[in-house]
Order: sequence, then C-alpha cells, then structure tokens
Amino acid sequence: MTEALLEIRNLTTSFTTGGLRVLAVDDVGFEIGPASTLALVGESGCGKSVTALSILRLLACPPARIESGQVLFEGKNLLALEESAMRRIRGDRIAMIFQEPMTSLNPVFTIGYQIIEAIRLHRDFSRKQARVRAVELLELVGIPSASERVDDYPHQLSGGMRQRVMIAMALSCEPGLLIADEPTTALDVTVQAQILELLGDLQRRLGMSILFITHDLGIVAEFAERVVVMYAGRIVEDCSVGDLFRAPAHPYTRGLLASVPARILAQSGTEPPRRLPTIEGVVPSLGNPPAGCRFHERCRHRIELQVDTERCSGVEPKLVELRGARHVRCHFPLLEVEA
Amino acid sequence: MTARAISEQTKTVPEAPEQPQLLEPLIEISGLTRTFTVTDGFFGQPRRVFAVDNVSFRIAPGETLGLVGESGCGKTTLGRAMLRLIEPSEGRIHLHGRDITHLAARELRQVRRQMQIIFQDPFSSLDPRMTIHQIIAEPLRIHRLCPDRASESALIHGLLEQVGLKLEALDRYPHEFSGGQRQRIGIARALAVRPEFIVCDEPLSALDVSIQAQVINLLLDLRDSLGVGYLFISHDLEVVRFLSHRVAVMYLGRVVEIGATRVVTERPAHPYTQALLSAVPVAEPGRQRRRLMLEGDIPSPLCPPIGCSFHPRCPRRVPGTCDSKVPEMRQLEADTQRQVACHFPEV
Repeated sequence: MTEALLEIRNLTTSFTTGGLRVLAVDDVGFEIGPASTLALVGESGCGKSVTALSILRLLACPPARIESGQVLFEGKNLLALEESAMRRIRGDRIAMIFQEPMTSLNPVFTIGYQIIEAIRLHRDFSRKQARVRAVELLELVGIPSASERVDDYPHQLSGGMRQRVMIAMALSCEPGLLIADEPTTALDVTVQAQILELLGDLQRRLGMSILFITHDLGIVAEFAERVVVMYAGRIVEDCSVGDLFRAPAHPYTRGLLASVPARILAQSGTEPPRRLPTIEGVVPSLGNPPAGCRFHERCRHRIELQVDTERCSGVEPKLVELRGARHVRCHFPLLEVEA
Repeated sequence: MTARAISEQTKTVPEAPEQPQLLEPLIEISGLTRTFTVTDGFFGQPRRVFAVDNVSFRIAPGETLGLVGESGCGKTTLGRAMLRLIEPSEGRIHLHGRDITHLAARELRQVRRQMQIIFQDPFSSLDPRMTIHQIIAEPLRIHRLCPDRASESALIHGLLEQVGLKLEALDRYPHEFSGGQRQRIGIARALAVRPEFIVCDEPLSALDVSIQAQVINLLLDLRDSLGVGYLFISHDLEVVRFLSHRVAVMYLGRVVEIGATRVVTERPAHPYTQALLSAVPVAEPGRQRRRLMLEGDIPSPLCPPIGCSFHPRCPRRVPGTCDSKVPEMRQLEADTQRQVACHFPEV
C-alpha cells in the first residue's frame, strides 16, 4: 500500500455508565489507502460504529471517552485537533452517511436548504451558487428532475431517494474519505443494489476512499478491497477480501462465513445440507469480557484441534502478522495449523 | 473448522419431497384480498388500497412456503390475514378442508390452536411484565391443554429444552435475554399448543448473522421432528432459498411468481423475480452476477400502475400490452407447478 489516507493507531474508546467503564473499542488500528475501500465487519455491539464515530469525534463525551490512540488523516492527528479545526474537516474532507436516511435529514427544511447549508459551511459560495451546486449534486446521485426535487421536503421522498440525498450532501465538498455506516441496511434489496452501484461509480469518478461499515458479507465480497473483522471491541482479523473468503484465519471469521446460507447453497451443489453450521453461544458482554481470547468460549476450533486450551482462556492473543499482509488475533490461526 | 467437521455438524437428514402439495393441503387460500380505505384529509374521497390482492396458494403438512418481497408489498398483511389476525375482505381460507373465513370468535379460538405466529421483533412481542413461564403457559391455559399444574410444568420444561433454553430461564423476565434467546421464547410460545401451521413473519431480521443460523437450524429441526407447515415471510432471499420447499414472490399486493424453490430461484421467469435475485450481493468475491438493475422505486399502492403493476420498472415491458392488461396467473411448464403472472415470461 502506498501512503495511507487514514491511519488509525491503538484507538481505544470507552463508555462510562453507572460507574462501570466499558471498552467499546479496544486498541484498534488499521489504514486506508487513497481511492480504496475498506469494510469494517462485525455483529451488533462489536464496536464498528463507535470506531467510525471516534474517527470523526462525533461521540458524546461523556459517557464516551477516547482513551488513547491516534487517528492520522492526511498526516494530521485528528484526535489532537481543536474542535474548530475538527469542524472544518467534518463534512469537508471526511463525510459520513448513516444507516437511517429517515432520521438523518431534518424534516422541517427542504433537502435543497440542507445541502446548501452543508456547502456554505465549508465553501465561500453565495446562496445562488450553492443552489446550483446542490442541483448538480442531486443530478450526480441520480435523482430525476433534480431542479424541482431540490425544493422537496424529506417526507416527499422514498427511503432510497433520501439515502441518495444523504450521499449528495456528503459529497458536496468532494471529501477524501466517505464513512458509510450500514448505508443500505434499511433499504430493500433492489434499492440497495442501486445505492451500491452509485457509491462504486462515484468512487471511481471522484477518487475518494470509503470506509464501509456493514454486517453483510455479500456486500463485503462485492464492494471492498480490504476487510477488518471486529469482535467484542477487538480487531480479530485484517486482510484482503480475497484472502478472507478463500482462507479465513480466525475461527470467528470462518464461523461467520460458514453460517451464510448463500455460501452453503453455492458450495453444496445439488444436494443442499439441511442444517447450517453455527457459532454456538452469544457475543460476550463488553462490561465483563471473558479472560484470555474473547472468542474462546465459542471457539469450536479450540476443541477440535485439542490445542492448548489454557492458553486460549488465560492469555489474550496479540494481533500477529501472517504472510501476505494480513493480521489475525489468535494463538492458533487456521492457516498455520493447516500448513 | 475442517471440512470434515462441517460435514459432521450438518448431519444430512433425508430431503423432504420436492412437491408435497400432492398431499391434502394443510391450509389453502383462494382469492384472498384485503383492502384498506384511505381518506385524504377531511373532505377527501375515500379510496381503496389493495394491500393483498387476489392471492391463492396452498401449503401441505410439513411444507415450507417462502414468501418474499420488498417492504410494503403486503407480505405481512397476507400472513396475518391467513390467521385472521387481520380480517380478509374477500376470498376464502380453508384449514384441513374446513372453511374458516367466517368462523365466529369462539370457534375461531379453537382453530387458532392449530395455527400460530412467530413475530419479527423479539423485543416487542413478549410482555415485559410476565415471566417466561407465564408467557409460555398462557396459550396452554387459554386452550385448557393441561389438566393440572404438574403436567403444565412438564410440558413447558419440554418446550424449553426443544428450543434450546435452560430451565433457569423460567422465572426470568424477557429483558434478561438476548435477541436470539427471546426469539426462542417466542418460538416456544408458538409451539406450546402443538400447532400444525406457523406463520414466521421475518423471524430472523432482528438477529445477528451467527444467531440467525442458530434459529434457522431450530426451525428446521422443528419441521423435521413435528411436521409443522410454515409460511416463512422474509426479505432475505438466501434464507428463503435455504428453508423453503416452494417460494412465492409478491409485488404490490399480488403474487407474481410461485413454484418449487429450485425452479423459481434458478430459472426465474418473472422479470421482478430475476431482478430481486440478481440484486442480492453474493458472498463470493469475483463471482459477481450480471445485475439486472431496476429503475425507480416501488410505486405507492395508493395509485398502482394500470395494467401489470410492475411495468413502469420492467426492463421487458411491451407498450400496449403491459400497461393496459393485468396479467393473469398461469402455469408455465407442464412438469413443474410453477405459476407466473406476466405477459411475457422468460422460459
């Protein structure tokens, strides 16, 4: 990878509620190159959204607190910036779109007003110029008859159209990095396909990087180049998309992949199996994470291989580098065992 | 996990017959329609919206019919209308050959023993002030299925075991459980009265991927061991493919294609089914399908398009036919029982 656009080092974010301190993001680090897409994957509560919000410093403090780490964007540590300097970066160099297009637009203003507001916050545009730009942006994201729709209120648009407006707003200052937090989860599959195609197309045209947060492995396979898998606040695996699907190194990642019905159907050929392989148990509570490897209680690999189980339950594994620029947090990564 | 381990976990059970509908149907609906009346403002003309429009199909004992479609297409309304949780406006529902469309409340309660529902949201479908024991016991008491407390407790213990929960759960309240566990409680409650037919209304969509797989396996086990028939409502096509013997695809209140899962998902004939299938991202890098991209959004059911309701988004529409005539449901091939509502299906 050439010089990274965004580099996160040892990021730790905590939440304190009722005297209890919980590490929602625990020593997370990864980088995103220019014009590339990184997917951040994991189940609910694993810390993927908190990671994204920490990058933009959008968390309410308290209860949240960024304990340590660095977020280097174009060489600057965002965590050390003044709030006013940070405000200049948000929405300009780094933009974000959210899961719920219904709730992230203000219902009492027209979409044009909201886009113009975003443009004029960062650019020295007159209202008129900004309005012309807003119409251009709406055209860019594929909203038909944009010059009329610019005066619509959010309730007059469908969910897919609202997400397009959110994207238009995010792109208003041509950001270097777009953070997309589950942008298609609330949408139907045919609309999801439209939005994903739009994002891919815009990325090629504008040369921006995308941090894509999702739990859908199908989207990861089609959309991203690199993947970071999180589990209970920790990164457990970091590799290229090809490696992840060809040979996942962490037992959790392998379990996740195995439980996707589509993959079972594709691999089983004519006779589909009648059961899905599962990961037993539930995600541990962050307030009281298990000792040792956070996944060890659910890890089938540990039992099957009869590996040193005391090491798994007693010592937390470090994120180690494997061949081919990949990282895994496991005492007995699957690649090595099989090799 | 090794390949051997996977094959061990996925103990293959003999596959259910491809076309169990040759048996006597468990439940059959014909021409089922549900309309709602909508008025625009105080002086507006009342208008009828067809949430479910003339839907007919049957489900055999032990069979799973998957019902897919995008939000607002009427799949939940259809599922509830089949149980008469929403009263149908027109059409007939037969359970074991008996017409239950107009049964009075008392008789309907008897029939409800045979048909149950599992809801989408495991957080709002359990009463927060009842213990798990009370939640599961309630249907048993309503239907007076247990002569005494001892047999009731024994039955509830059996149910908990069946859905994979520990006995400690009994005296606890819903908020103490995770989403997956609550969904298991909802399933235990539905199973308590030993129903033959269960409507599963998006039972997985509130759950994480690794938990989804556990609940899918549970539903499969129950089908295999108890012979329950399911109407499995979902927007997740892959899950439906995995679970269902047959699939029905809904668009704006109508079923546009129905048939054996393999036939419908591998050789879809309706352009909407084709678009829906090709829109699903594949978890296999480099294996991207050719995508059939639909234009626009689903039209509002308040003013559905004239003719085929899919024609404004259809890449194969033929002006003069598709925008004027409503396509009738018809059987495509002689051998498969697939039916399609399209003027120009792809064969």
